[in-house]
Amino acid sequence: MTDNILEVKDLYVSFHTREGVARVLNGVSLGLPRGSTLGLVGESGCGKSVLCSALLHLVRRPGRIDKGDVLYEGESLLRQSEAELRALRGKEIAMILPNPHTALNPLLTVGDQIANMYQSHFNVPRAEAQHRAVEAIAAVGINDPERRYHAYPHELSGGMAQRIIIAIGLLFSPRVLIADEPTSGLDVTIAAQVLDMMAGLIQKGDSSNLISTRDLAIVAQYCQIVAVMCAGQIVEQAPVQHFFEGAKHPYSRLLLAAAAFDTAGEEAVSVSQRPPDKYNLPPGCPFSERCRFAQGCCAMERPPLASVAEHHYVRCHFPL
Amino acid sequence: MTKLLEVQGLVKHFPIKGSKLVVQAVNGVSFDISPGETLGLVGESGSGKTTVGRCILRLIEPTDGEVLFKGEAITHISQRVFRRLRPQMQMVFQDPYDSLDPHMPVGRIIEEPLTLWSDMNSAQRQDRVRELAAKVGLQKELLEVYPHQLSGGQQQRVGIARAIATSPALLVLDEPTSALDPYAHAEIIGLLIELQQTLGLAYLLISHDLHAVQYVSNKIAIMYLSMIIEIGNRDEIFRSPQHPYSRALLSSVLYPDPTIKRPRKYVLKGEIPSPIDLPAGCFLYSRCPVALPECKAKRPQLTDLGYGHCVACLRVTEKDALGTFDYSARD
Repeated sequence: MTDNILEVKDLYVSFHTREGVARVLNGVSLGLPRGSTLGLVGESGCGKSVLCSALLHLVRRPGRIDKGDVLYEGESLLRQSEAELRALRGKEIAMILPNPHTALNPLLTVGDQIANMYQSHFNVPRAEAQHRAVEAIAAVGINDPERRYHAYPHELSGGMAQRIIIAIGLLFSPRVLIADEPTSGLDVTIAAQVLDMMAGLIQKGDSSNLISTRDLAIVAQYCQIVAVMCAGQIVEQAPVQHFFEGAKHPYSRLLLAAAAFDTAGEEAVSVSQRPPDKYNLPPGCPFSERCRFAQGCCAMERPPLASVAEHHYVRCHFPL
Repeated sequence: MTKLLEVQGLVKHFPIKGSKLVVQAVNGVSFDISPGETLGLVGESGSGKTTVGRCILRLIEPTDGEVLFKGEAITHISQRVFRRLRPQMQMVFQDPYDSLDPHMPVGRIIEEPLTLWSDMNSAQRQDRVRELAAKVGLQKELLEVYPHQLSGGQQQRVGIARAIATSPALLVLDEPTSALDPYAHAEIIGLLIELQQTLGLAYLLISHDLHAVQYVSNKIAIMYLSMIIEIGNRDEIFRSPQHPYSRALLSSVLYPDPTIKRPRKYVLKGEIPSPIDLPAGCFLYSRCPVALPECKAKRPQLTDLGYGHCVACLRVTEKDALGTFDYSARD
């Protein structure tokens, strides 16, 4: 049995809006093995960000967790009180958000935000919290941390603001780090620096990491395991090497073909390019409408998650 | 070979209101594009690449320099004369939705340049619109709908159909796929390649997506802080980039393949200087790992290393000054 530090069990999340009920997560089961980095991939709108927030029990109205559980070290997070969760969040399970300028409070200096965060978990004098904040700013490679402590978010470039977000994420050396699109919107040199820094800091400790991204290149270079999400379901999970050598799900093949700019080949989608309507999901496989290998049963019957090799699982009636 | 487009010493400075300061967006950019060729213009945000594209089409007027289109100088002619050339050079914009009129059905958006620039009657225009839609892979039912009813990839197809309606020789593509999902992104790249092959179009592809640029371009120009610091054939640039900035940029590219190892990282320290207060010497001086004292005062010019591979660095002709760039794992 694998040793998962974080485990999602058959999780269903829906959003109740005026237009109806959007079924965003539809039975997600996923394990994050201790000490590894897992890449969560899928097109925009597939539910990656909602899953990330569900991992910290941060799904807010009109969102609703209908069913399922999230286990951290074998214990349910969803059954804990808000106070217990607050003690965990940031300290044991931390999150890096995609847009640094909206994630930071524009009215506080970045240093004070980090110091506040420190004091929210440790009862220490302000001076010590401030000292820790300066250390945290220096740890993410920002020059002149004492001066940057007093900078407001709008005074920082996107790359630097994202490093502040990472400094906050890593402040308590969390055991689990969840990074939701940590480099989208950053320039390539900055993105590579940010990812290298995250990888380095993770190597130092024994933390486990989940990176949600649309970019398979990040998965190829920084992750050991990949989980592919389509319309709120994990359709394939595999070690990265296996995945790039021989993904089994047609949707995974589609993502791989797109990453290689091969859209004319046999993996090309034929019918509709749009992901299924979340307000009106087909009862069967969510990819069936777009899948060129689909047969009659695919739209009607949801395929089970089946093991095809060691640590390699696919949710498809006819894996390739 | 005759050049389709020649850009010579292009300069664009934006004055800052209420002060004597200027933002030096573009400083002395030169390159050329032959018919049917793609030049990938890359660089980080703020490097001036979009301004170059806009100056060429005179969407903004350049401060200095000259642009020749089919050998004809087009920068200092009147807008009225210039507009007659515009059907031959068109642009595709970054945000496909914002660049389409929300009040017009798709068919009319594609038809508009024909109304302006062709002698076709209404029936002929309709035929041409259907032909264009087929070329860019838009189902003809979609000609009746409005832009907001389309996916991002379909919207960008409309933008491309509109751009090629007047049979241009040159398209300026300003980040044509950066707003799109990975699959739509790959499809648009595929479509651009196909159109180039069938219509003989030349592209100026402005992008920060180096992986896509590598896939599409014949030539690459790398911009840093208002100047082209390296230009050359695609394979030459990707295999052996010379300028320290090019190396930092190209060693940051991630490939979607776990067997490809990244070359030894080439990290620049510090942040990009402000384009308002540019240093006297090399713009990379403060960040460069191989800078010499003279780099601070002397601004390097593009030097041809042969085969049209030009680099703006004082140290580039010195043997081994920059070291080798280890791409062995990538070939």
